[in-house]
Amino acid sequence: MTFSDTHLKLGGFASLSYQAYLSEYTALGGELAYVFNYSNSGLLLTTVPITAKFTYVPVQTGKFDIALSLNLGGAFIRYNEGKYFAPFASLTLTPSFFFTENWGLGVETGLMVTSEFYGKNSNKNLASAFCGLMPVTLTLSYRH
Amino acid sequence: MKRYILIIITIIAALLVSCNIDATDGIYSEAAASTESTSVTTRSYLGQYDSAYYYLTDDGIFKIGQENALFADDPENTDAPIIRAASMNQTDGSLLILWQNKKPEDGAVIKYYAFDGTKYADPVVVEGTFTNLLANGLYYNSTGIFKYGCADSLVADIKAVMYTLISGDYAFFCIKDNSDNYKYYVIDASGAVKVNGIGSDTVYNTFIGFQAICDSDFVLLNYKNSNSKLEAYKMSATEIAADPYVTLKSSVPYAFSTQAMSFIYNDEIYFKCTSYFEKIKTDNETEQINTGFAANLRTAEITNILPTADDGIFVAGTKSSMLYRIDLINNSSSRITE
Repeated sequence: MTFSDTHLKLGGFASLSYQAYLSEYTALGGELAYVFNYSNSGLLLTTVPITAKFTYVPVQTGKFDIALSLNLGGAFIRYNEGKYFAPFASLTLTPSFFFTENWGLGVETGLMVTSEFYGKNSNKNLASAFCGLMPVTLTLSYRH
Repeated sequence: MKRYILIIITIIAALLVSCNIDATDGIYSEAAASTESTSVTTRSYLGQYDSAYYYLTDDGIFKIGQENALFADDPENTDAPIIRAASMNQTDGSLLILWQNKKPEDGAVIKYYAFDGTKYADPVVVEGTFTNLLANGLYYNSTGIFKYGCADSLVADIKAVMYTLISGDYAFFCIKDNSDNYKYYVIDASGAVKVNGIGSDTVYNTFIGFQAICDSDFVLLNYKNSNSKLEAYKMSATEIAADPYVTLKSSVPYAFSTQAMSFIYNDEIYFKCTSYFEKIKTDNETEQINTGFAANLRTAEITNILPTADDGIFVAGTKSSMLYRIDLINNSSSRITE
């Protein structure tokens, strides 16, 4: 299996999230993201997830945090002439190093899944599909 | 208040989810079917001779694995004719090439090039100027339809050729004669006229696919404007059946930019539609195919498909991804690289 077997080339991911702590270890908020990939034919696949974000932070040393996040929501996806609003879920792990009391730098990775569903009477009934992506991103966090 | 907010959110979500109704395919399935594009724009696959594959591009006629064109357009020379169409005889490797003069009023001439196995001979110019040359070697102008080597026209009394459809060795013609009657013909690569009928223009303008089941049994694929359906009609030696014998599930290929290319294997017809190959089985049931051999090709714009000498093996030309070998026995397809 190579990258070309996925029919998508390496892409990019950017997001902005805001969360408030519910307790010492849990936080709840929202996230807006932008994901892009080019397919083998050179067309652009874009995904814009809008999600609620729940985060559990089991490791907190003051300097070093490990956060586990679950995002649930929807995503606008677009490719060629097609547009679709899809259910979206992601599960990510983010180790972060706080180089000041407020600012931290981390690496986030995990699995994000979107899906497309068509009913059996649709002329695209064979086109129902899941898309799984595994982004690896740098994160910059501010806490107070 | 909360109830109204929920209703509004539900309506907005429903509208957003329905956004893809007009698209021709699922978004992910279309992306998953994407093939590597090349900088070459292929116009047609010409055929196979002595194990080599030949094809026509915007830059000329090429052989797979060979960088230099066998016959090249000369973009630097604004007065030089350009290659508009070509046809290869797969038995002897000879070529017919339609050279379009730069000035439209000068028309296009056809030249025949014999092949001795290593090189092409000096061309023999076919007398007259012509409108088009089809992949099966037939060509036409406002006076008739012709076949190289045949002294007389195969069909005369032509005011205009309305359109043509091609399938392997066979070509379907819809013409308007000098009395303004619409007529249709099926003519094979040997020049034999297999179908000769008269009909109404309202029917003809929507035929977009054609397939020969055998030498006397032909199928036309019709796009019906009233219900946006693709319907298959049988054609006898003199007429097209009044009613379709099969209605496909698929949609129109590329808004008529190219015909619904087809091939036949084990008496089952495969039409290339927008997002699927759709197979008309021997029991007249249909099946959409998007996996196996179709996975690499179902969203590609196919220029033409020709059978090979090997059972179950076909070669498809694609507009932007070169040539593909279709293997129906192993249900696979792969790009031809040499």
